[in-house]
Amino acid sequence: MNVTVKPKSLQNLKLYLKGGYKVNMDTPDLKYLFITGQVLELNSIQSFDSIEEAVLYVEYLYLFEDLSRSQNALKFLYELQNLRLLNLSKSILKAICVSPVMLTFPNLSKIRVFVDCYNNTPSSMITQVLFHLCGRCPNLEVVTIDELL
Amino acid sequence: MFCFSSETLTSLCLVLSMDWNVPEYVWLPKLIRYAHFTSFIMEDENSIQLFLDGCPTLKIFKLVIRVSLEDETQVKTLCMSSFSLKFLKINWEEIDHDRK
Repeated sequence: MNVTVKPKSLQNLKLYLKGGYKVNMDTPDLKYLFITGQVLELNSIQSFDSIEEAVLYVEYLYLFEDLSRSQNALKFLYELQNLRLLNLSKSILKAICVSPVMLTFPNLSKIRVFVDCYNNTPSSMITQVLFHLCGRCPNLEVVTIDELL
Repeated sequence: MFCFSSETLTSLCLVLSMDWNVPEYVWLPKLIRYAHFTSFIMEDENSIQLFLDGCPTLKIFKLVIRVSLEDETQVKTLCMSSFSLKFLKINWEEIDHDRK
């Protein structure tokens, strides 16, 4: 199923998705974005220049072992680089970690990552996560890695 | 070797029930507000001290260490020193093997 969100003046958006959705967004004035559920794709027509906070608890319905498949998640994150606060699922974080592209968040000061400890999350990934976050967020002040219940 | 280094980080909270350990190299000079680890497995006797050595301004440190009564090889000694710590809280919790 496709979801397209187009109001140019929209500042606050929450999406609760069940099933695999292809989400298209054209909301350049968005300040707050919350998405939870399963997705096939997240697409942005243009950058979120005004974005301040994003909560992306999405699970992609495929694995990121194939690098080309992580490109959609990375392209969407690239449009969110003005973020100050970011909450991420392990699924998206994995896309960041496996990417050869150094995606940076210059304004990000606070990040929270949720991991599923009972679903084969290797402990080495925690170390990788810390390494990648600190390397790509030059103004990071608060890191929280939390367990998904 | 993974380096966990940041010149800006002031707070770090890791709330996990998986086995994990401190990266081999830590340098967080601005980590001043707090570090909170739950639940931490001590695989190395020096791991906590290595972390504290890399956080020269840390004031608040809360630590929950997971222990196994069945594991004879686990670390049995915890030593730490710091010139900056003002508040320290340590808990030990027994590993629930039925959950693994």
